[in-house]
Amino acid sequence: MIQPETFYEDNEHPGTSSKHRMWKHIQRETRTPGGSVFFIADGRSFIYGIAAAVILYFTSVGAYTTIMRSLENAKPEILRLDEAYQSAIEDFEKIVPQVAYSSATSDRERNYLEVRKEQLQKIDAAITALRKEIGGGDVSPLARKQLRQLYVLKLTVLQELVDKGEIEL
Amino acid sequence: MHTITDEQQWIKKTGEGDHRAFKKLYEAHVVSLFRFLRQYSENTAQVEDWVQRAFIKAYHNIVSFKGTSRFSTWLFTIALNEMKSDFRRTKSVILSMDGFYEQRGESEEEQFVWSDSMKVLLRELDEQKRSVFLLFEVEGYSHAEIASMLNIGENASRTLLCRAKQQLRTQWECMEKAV
Repeated sequence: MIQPETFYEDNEHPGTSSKHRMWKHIQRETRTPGGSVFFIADGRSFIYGIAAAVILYFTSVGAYTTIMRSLENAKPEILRLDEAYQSAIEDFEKIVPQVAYSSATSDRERNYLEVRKEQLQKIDAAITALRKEIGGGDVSPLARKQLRQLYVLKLTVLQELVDKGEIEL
Repeated sequence: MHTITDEQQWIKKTGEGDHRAFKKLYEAHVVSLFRFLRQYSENTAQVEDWVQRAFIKAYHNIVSFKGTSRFSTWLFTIALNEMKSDFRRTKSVILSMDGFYEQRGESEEEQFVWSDSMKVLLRELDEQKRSVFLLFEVEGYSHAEIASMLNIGENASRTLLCRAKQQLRTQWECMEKAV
């Protein structure tokens, strides 16, 4: 075998500039069409994915809010009124125990509180019974009136308890 | 120098689109390919074109390279095909020498001694003889590899080498006598 180092002359080897020139041409022919298109396609896909996720999130939130509002608005007036009274009563009830403990100093006052508590229990029992009746939302005007009166009565009793306790609100 | 493992890694990464790995392959083989192809043309631009086309084709088809042969064998095959396709444009008839040479003997092979002054005569050989001579005697490929590169039989490769040596020796003796 002939040794390549002795066989090939120096002028038969590619020079540095020749190698660089050939590589530049090869690089242009291989990288530009394939590589960058792939990258752009990949990048686009990523951006589209992110955008779709954001849109889906806001759409879901919007849809949920709309549905909840629609359901809220679809409730019968009596149910909305019932919820409003319940909410008001719960707020009152939060402070009534404090009134009872802080202000009930004499036997007379304790008796008064006991009577009022019994009254409240009876009103609550009546409200619960009526609410069961109007569970489907289809109630007679009489039941509606009774429920409203019971709430008003309960609120009056609670208000009285708060007033008697002379508590700072 | 690079190892076979290095080269396998570069080939794998090139297949995945890694241009740095492809550049390593280029740097490892460009010199041997260029100087080999230079034996077929005095025109440097023409040789550069063959080299570029060979590497570009290799890049685009690297996934089809199964690793059953050396990468250089595969690359040289591509380069030779590119070169031949250019020669075909200038030559109207291409004769297959495969069948013809398979019947020839190999007695010349043992008697042949290379001399540097034979190099000018090498360019007088036809394309196939020159290819077989260069690939076997200079680049060190086996007859099996050469057969695969030139799309000929192994026996044809041996016979072509024998004929090339015979022609070189005869012409060299004439030249020496004249001097």
